[in-house]
Order: sequence, then structure tokens, then C-alpha cells
Amino acid sequence: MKLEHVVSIDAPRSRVWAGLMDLPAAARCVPGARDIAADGDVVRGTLEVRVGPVRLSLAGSVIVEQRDDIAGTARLRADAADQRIGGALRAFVDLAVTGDGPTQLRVSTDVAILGRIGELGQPLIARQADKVLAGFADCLRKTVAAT
Amino acid sequence: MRPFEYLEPETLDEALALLAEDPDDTLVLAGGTSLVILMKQELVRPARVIGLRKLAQLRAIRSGDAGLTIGALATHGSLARASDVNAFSPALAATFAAVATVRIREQATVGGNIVHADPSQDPPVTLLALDATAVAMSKARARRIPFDELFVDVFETSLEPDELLLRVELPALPVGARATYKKFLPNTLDDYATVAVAAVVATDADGRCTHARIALGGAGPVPLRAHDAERSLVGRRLDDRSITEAAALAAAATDPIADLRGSARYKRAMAGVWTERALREIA
Repeated sequence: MKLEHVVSIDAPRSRVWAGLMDLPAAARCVPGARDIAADGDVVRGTLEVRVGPVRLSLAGSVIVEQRDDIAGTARLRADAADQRIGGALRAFVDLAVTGDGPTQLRVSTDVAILGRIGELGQPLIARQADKVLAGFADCLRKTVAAT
Repeated sequence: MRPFEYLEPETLDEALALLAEDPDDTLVLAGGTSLVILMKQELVRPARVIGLRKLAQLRAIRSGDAGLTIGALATHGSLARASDVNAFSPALAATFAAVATVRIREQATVGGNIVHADPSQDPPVTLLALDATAVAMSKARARRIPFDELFVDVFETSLEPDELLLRVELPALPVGARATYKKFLPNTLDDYATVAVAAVVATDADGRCTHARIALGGAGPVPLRAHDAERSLVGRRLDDRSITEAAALAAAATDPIADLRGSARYKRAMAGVWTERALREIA
């Protein structure tokens, strides 16, 4: 499943980029994230997601696979598994920043969903992703404004 | 299905006390038509399930000068047949009769339907248009929640985990009010609607609109009120011009989720078409 999000952040591009590439700090900005810890290049943690009566607890890791500071692009890979209902996901997330104060952040996600999580259905999963990304962008705006 | 502890309280107080013990890992079973599917899919795995079937008082349907009160455990079938419901609003009785299939209607309850909060369900749309209020209770308190504030997101209501929905209250309708519920079912009769519309209007002796309610199902993450469309009708005659304007405003109020029943754009367009049809029927 492919998802596209573009958010505008009213801050210089260099600060937005630095905020994104501080992976543990960026991960803490994801709504529902907990127990975030850096382990070398890998950031580990758990993402709690709630869809009505269905609760997911996605434990996994994120790593920067490719990064181009000049172009302002990076590819992240996230793998996570849920222990509550069973299921897993693998996502490749392409980040690209363009413009400068305001800076546009484009997030292109290609996510494969395995197991029972898929029973929730694509429309609902896409909607949850929209909510998580909107919360992440709000947090990133505050973080970048504070630096 | 995962093993779970099943409890069947004899009284409301007992049910609320059980729920208060461990609200986050307890689920309440009414008719079970939604919950049992979620449990079989193992999408939900409660440690405890509280079955409400012994709480007969929650099945009561009562009407009076103040309006209509529907107990949370009343089934859709019993509501579709109830003379009190039909006398209050034939459109409401027709809404319950339009839910899914006869087997589901006789098992599923209005309370279970409401707390499940799927935005494509039928009863919440008409109840919203009829200015319904939910009455909920926990061990600590009772609370009244207008339907406008009840639905928060897909499958989410503003009820707390320790609260039980007891009943739905509907105020008396304005004199001469007319109502309708229309669902657009391009696939099969027992499918969820692509979009659904409930409309209520009342007019004065000159034919000018004095009361308008338009509620939409399947048109966003929650059942929606088309407030701008309602306001546009008040004070005007319900003619071609006011109806097409209101239908366009209703379509603009939607925020549909694309799924197998249609793209967001298609559902928005259909919300306008079916709002127009509903208003023409009761104009």
C-alpha cells in the first residue's frame, strides 16, 4: 500500500532536516510511540495504535538506509510486529524536503501489511496513517521551533 | 477465539461494578453481531466479556409527551415493529427495518449498533437528525451526551471505557414535522449503504421552513450533520432552488473515506443526490 503525505513546516530547511535526521528524537514525535532507544544506527521502540476497540502494539525498529544531506532526501526502513492481535508490517519511507522557511516535507510510504492487521482494511489503515503523520508534523514543528 | 471470562450480571448496578473493576480489558456484549466477529477474527481479545441479556429493563421502548425513549438493548426488529416508534416517526421505524437482514435485525441492538460507531450504519443517521441524546452511566456517574458529540472517529465514541449506554432519548418533534431516511444501496440490500441521508423538516402556514435537520451516513469518519445545508433552508419555501442549494451544501459538508463502495469523490456527489431526493420527498 502506497501513501503520500506533504506537510509544510514554517522553519528553515536546515533545521527541519536536522530534526528529521535525529532519528530517536524524530521517533519520539510519532504519536503513540514509546520506549524509544537508539541501538547503534537502529532506533527501536513500540508504537501503540488504537482503532476503536482494536488495539495494536507494534514493536520494531527504524533505520536510515540511504541519506543525501545536499539533496535533502532519505530512505528509512521500518519493521514492526504486533503482539496483541498478530501481524507485522514493513515500510519503506522516502523523505524529501524542498523549499526553505516554509519547508515542504514529502513523506512517501510503501508499506506491506501482514497478518491480522490487514483485516482492518486499507481505508482504515490509510486513515490511521494520516492521523499519525499529522500528529508527527505538529510535534516536529514544535521541536524545530524550539531549537 | 481466545479464551475469556464471561459474566452475566443480574442487575445494572452489578454490571456497572463489574465494568469498573477492569474497564480497559473488559468488553460489553449486547446482541454480539459486531463484537463476536471482531473476537473471532481475534482483532479484539478481551480478558472479560459482560453479557447484558439479563438486564431486561434496558429493552424498554417508551413514548410520552416529552418524546421517545429507546432502551439500549432494544433490537432493531423490535423497534421496527413498535407502535410507539412508528407513532413517533415512521421514518425512524423504517430506518430500523432497513438494517441488514432479518436475522441481524432480531439479534442486533440499537445500543450495540451505536457504540460500534461504524459510520456506515443506519440508525445513528436518523437518530442524529431527530436530535437524539445518549444516556450513559458508570459506577460513579450518569451522563447525557448529545449525538452531535457522541461519535468521535471511525469505531470510536466519546463514551468512557467504564460507561454503559443505557438508552437513547428523542425530544418531541415540531408540530407537522416530516422525516425520511434514504440509503443508497447499489450492491445488495444487506450491504452497508454507500451513503445514507436522514432529513427532517417542518414548515409554517406559508410553507416556509421552520425546522430542518439533515444527517449523512457513510459520508465521513462519523455520521455527520449538514449544518450549513440546514441553515440555508430555514425561512425559505422548500422549492427547487432551496433544495438544490441545500443538497450542494450537504455534499460540501462530507469528508468521505474511499472504500469498495466508492471513491471519496463519488460518495460526496451521491450525498448531494440523495439529500436532494430526501428533501423532495418531504418538501
